[in-house]
Amino acid sequence: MIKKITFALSLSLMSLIVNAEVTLTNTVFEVITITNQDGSKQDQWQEPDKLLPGERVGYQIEVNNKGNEPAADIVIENPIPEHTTYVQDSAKGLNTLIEFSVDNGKTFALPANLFMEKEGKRVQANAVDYTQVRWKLNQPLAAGASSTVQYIVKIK
Amino acid sequence: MKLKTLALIAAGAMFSTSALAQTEYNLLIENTANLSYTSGTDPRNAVSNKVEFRVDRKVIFNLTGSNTDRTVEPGETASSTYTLTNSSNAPIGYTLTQPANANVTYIIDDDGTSGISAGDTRVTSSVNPTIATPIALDTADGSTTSQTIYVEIVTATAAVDGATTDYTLTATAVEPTTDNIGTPGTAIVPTLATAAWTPSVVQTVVDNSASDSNNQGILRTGTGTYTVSAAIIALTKSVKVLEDPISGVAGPTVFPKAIPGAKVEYTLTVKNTGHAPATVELTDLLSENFDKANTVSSVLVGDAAPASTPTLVANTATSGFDELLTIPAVTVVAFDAAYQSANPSHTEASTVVTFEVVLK
Repeated sequence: MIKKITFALSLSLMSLIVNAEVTLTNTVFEVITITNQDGSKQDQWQEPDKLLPGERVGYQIEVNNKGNEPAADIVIENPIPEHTTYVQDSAKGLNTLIEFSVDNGKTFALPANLFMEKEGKRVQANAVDYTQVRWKLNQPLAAGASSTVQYIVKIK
Repeated sequence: MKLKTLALIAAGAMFSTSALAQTEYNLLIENTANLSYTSGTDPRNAVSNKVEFRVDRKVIFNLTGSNTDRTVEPGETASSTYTLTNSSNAPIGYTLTQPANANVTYIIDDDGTSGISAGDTRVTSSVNPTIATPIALDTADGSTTSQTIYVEIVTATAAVDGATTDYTLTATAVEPTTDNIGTPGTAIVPTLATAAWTPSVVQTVVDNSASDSNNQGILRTGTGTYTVSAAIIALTKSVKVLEDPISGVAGPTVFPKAIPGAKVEYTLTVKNTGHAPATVELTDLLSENFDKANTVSSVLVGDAAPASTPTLVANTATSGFDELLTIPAVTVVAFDAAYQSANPSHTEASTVVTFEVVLK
């Protein structure tokens, strides 16, 4: 009898524990340029067809809070894959601070503040130099909520 | 791979605008995102699923030629130069189609010595070593590689003016001996555009933008025509009496006759209706009835003194004739487009040669 009560108690306690449980889902797309009827061009993300050198690959990363408490201080970090280069201005994410690294994630900064050594000189880093992209969510992610960030790379 | 990446970065630093070599086919591109967050006051981490795919194979190659159409002389061996370029992101093999004509040879400049040499691989109308051993163009680091191929045509010495030899040099992209996605030596098969993409499988895309009929992009052709340019020579001869001891010198109303002592002029007209110029030697066996003391000095070629001094030597091989006049190095220009344009009324190019004898 005593054992049973304990068991019941622990069950009710468990349901009281609040928890944020955030998962990441990464999906790959092929990014192509389409021409609208008015002649303007825009990117279109689609299921990859064939992926060849020079073509653009989009990564869409979904954060999902499956817990019952908001998740705070969410930081998503993604290394630019080998054999690809980051496409300038392609990283996006609602209510996020997007920063980049040129030293494999040791330090991060906004593009305007990213510098590196080239030919012995300290110069502003280019998009092709980026090794990492990082999104910092400005606000907590509510329980059950999800958000999506994305960026594009080009296959060398 | 690490070294290659470093080398690329170094090259990029040296030439800020340099085009980087393209990524080789079959390389795996992986991506995993990392996450950190706070649950309450508890810092936590998570990683995403790993997405990965293999870089597909794109087949891009070109065959470009120079001096593809030529004008040749009988007996000449001449060639055109082609460059087969592989700009794919994979090693590709190439076979050549055999030439139709026996006097055409495709020479693959593969013996390490630049230019046509004995060690080069040859494709003729009877043998084709590229079937067993395709031309290998390996884009080791994804850069462009090329192979020089000569089209060599031997023109027969008996070839006549205007005769032509055509060739169609055809290179077919085939699966290479190693690093292939199919049976080595078989034509590369582009993956259907409608075929679903499979991340883990290398698929093949072929550049089909070339304007020639290139069989889904796996054929490239170079065509040309060699045209024989030869002289077509004819010779005509005429005679007239310039003066005789009684009538005097020929004039509007004076008609000298062929009497003893008459000065006789022979005219040899060398005619050319071919597209090449010619240099000919004229010989004329002269009658024993002529006094030929001044003959050599009387020779005119195109109203001018001959380039080479004529000779007059005794020759009694034929009864009634005693001396052979030889006029060497008589040139006649080509009856070509330039000549015809400058002389629209002419039906041939010609050089007129004259000499004199005196009737004994």
